[in-house]
Amino acid sequence: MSYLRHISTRRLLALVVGCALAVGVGAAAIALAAGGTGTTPPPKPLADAIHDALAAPQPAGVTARIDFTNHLVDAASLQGADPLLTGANGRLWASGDKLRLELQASDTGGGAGDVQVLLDGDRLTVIDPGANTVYRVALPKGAGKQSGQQANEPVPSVARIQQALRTLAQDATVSGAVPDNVAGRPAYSVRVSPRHDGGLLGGAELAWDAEHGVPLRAAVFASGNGSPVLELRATDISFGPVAAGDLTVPEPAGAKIVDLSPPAGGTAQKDQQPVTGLDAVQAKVPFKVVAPDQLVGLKRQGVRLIDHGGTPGALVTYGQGLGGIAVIQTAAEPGKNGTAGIPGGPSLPKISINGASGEELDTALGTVLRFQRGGVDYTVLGSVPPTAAEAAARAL
Amino acid sequence: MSAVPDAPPIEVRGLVKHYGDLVAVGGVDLTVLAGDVFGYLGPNGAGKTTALRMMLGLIRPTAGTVRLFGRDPQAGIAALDGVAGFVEAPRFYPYLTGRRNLELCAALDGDGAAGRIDEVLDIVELRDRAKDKIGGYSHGMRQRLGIAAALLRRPRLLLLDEPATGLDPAGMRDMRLLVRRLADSGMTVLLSSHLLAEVEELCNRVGIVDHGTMAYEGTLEELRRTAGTVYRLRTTDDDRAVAVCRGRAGIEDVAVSATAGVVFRATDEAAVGELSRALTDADALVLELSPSRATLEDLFFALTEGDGANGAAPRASRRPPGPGRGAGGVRPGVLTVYRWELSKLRFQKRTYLGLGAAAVVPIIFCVAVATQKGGPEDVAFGRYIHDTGLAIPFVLLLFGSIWMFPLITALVAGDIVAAEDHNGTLKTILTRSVERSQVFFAKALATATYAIAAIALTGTVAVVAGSIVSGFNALPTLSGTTIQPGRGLVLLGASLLVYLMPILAIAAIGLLFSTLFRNSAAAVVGTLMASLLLQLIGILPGLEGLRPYLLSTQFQAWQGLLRQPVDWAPIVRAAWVCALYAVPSLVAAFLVFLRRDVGGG
Repeated sequence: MSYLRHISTRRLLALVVGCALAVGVGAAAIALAAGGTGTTPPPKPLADAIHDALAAPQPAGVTARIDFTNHLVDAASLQGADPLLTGANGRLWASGDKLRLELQASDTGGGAGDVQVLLDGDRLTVIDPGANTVYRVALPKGAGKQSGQQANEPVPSVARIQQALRTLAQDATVSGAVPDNVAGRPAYSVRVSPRHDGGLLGGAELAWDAEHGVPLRAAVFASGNGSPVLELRATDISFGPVAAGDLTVPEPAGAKIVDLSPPAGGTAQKDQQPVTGLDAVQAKVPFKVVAPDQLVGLKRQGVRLIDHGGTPGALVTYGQGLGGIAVIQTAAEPGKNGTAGIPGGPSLPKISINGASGEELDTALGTVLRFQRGGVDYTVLGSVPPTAAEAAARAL
Repeated sequence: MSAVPDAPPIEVRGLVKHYGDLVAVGGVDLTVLAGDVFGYLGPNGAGKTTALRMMLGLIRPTAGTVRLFGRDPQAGIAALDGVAGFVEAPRFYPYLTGRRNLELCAALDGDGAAGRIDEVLDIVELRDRAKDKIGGYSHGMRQRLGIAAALLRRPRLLLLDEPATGLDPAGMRDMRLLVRRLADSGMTVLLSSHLLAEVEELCNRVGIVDHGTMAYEGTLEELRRTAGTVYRLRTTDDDRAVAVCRGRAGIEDVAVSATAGVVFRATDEAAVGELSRALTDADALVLELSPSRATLEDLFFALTEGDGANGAAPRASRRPPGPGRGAGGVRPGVLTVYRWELSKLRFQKRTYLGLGAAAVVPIIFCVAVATQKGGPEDVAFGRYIHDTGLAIPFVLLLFGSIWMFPLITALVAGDIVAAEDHNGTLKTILTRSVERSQVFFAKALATATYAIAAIALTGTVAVVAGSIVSGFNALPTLSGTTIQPGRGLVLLGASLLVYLMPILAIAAIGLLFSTLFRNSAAAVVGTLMASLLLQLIGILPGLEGLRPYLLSTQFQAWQGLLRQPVDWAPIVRAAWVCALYAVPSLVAAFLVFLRRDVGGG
């Protein structure tokens, strides 16, 4: 103490800076040791990397910290702080065909609670405490299988993967397997970008663990934007058994239940012959289908009958690929104005289409627009900017 | 650090203190011998008080050395064993009684000083007023209490800085009698004063300082002898007499006064005899030749106004006595100082203001919950405040992080050192038997204790009031699981502990500001502003990457405990992020406190 009191200010500052540097270097060394070496795997062809990932023995379970980015919707237009819409940090547990994703409310600066995304086989459940709502979605059969798939289906050969990649390359630009390091793990990443008209979609990236084949990062980019619009990435990951209790969360008592599953008849309809063509579809629906030959310069591609919650509807498509526009037409339910949005979801900006009121969801990857006219609900959607979607709606 | 045998009580060599370009002390050499009553004289602004501060280790010399019984007061508090006194006016805690102030001083002295309180109160005749708060004491009573506080240390050396300043004539007389008694009991006294009569009456040796340097040091007799005697001369022919006087050996400073005639100074009586003969020979017959002994005032002005005796200060020849009483015995530890810091907090209004807010806010919140149907549904647990009282403290933790807890913490952290500066009491406690480091650690501990008390109070009141309003029921976690009330209480306790981490970091910042600014208001506001600034940075677009490392973010780390399974990552991060703020702040505050010059308040 006496020394510290006596030494000159210059020497004291030198001593303090020296100590701070020593602590900094020590902390950096500890962080490096704890966080992995940042090494990348050896370069290899994409087909080989995919094959090795599929062939890798699946770990007993995965526990990870994750970072979820969502710039799909302009944050300024959102009310509240729902982790699903604003992005959040959180945790992930996965084992077998079960997965739990926890998006924490606290790190977004508010929120009533954590959003829980639960995948159990073919059933997806999203618990949103901010909206006090539980969303349930029944996925197509087999969509949630992971380990079962490994057991029953052989890993595709490298040649078969190469063939699939060649097919994909006709419509998209596929990068090679880029050696990477994600969450301190050696990984490969691949980027896929639309080769032709991709609308607002710029591309997508996927990175997976080089050793276990487990996805570590998935990102979607808007056209002309280097930052991902949507990204789910692991920031810290460990492999090993996961407690069963960590994979489930009870649904809150008193929450609203919203079932977003496709209609039950949907599967049966797969076996039936699709109804296509304007006249054929017109004959099946109780309203007049609006399907001009061209819409905002895009040529009509087709008209198809769809099942919309047990009632028939018409799907009219314009243009090619992701740059196209789809128009869904269904008979309006009596007493509903057709602009109620997603139950419990955010309220959307209101618009007027030739005097009819509607609402619009403008995202970085596309636009969805709904309005009602003459007893018919119209939904216009496409990977296009809102001005193009509104122009299309007004041209109907 | 033990006393050096035969070392004089005070030995100062080449003492210099600069404040930027200002030279406060310009090279003082001084020796006070055992048994001396040493008058330290100088006009206002001569650097007396600055030199005394350096002697007591309150400020660091720019150059030179001070030794008290051979020990360096800059090296540690042990140098003040057997030494006591005060610089400028003695300062005490106005919200404590005289006795309580002495008890504090005694606690910081150790060595049984507490048992001497009544004795020293009797000596200074303050026993009847000992139960009164210092705020009601007269100036004279405070001076006497300062002497009493000094006597608690059983000093062998007493340093008194202008002890009679501001006293009425009776008070001055009493003070002189007291110093005389102490000197007669064998105590060495250094008496800094500009009251020449006081010094002349009490002191056997003097040091005269002028413009920061010593003009004279030695006995009064020697000073007078060196200065010589002034004579008044009247003759039948003064003009001729002046001519005779000038140029004679032993006759100096010859002048003619309209009222007194010829005045001169003679250092030798034989020279005066020879002059008498020479005057008669020159036919200037002597009508009057009378000596007029120089007063200390004459000598003082002669020395400090550049007229008369020069600074060839004769050194005292008396052999310094051996060491007297031993060192201070058992020194008080940090815990003793800490207990007294808590005791001081206990008597301060701001403590009650902060703790009162910590208790009242939950009550107001619960009243609002009881009288309104809705709630803050967009914050964690806000949905459940009508279902269980357990949810209420958690909601309050979220709201409290914005300004309430930073303000409550800053109230004490920003004040705990600065208030001592304001009151001038820092010099009082730093001239007892505790090291500066002990005082600092005790203050840091007391600040932390207060912060813990505030958090615990809020949590407790919120649970009790919340349970009355909404019941003591199970609480849903952030993950959607439900925890029983008992476990909820445990988790609340743990959450409060986690919440304490950023609070302590803010307290460390407050302590730094308090040490740096030396102004309570600036330190309190500065601490609060720093906390708010960190929150604002957190909401700036483009700085999202900084958010995990901001102090404001760590206020939510406790939420990790309310997840299923417990999420330790934010808690671990909060621990090291808070340490990143707290440790440098504490180290900086400590170094500043250790090295700073302690002023008068």
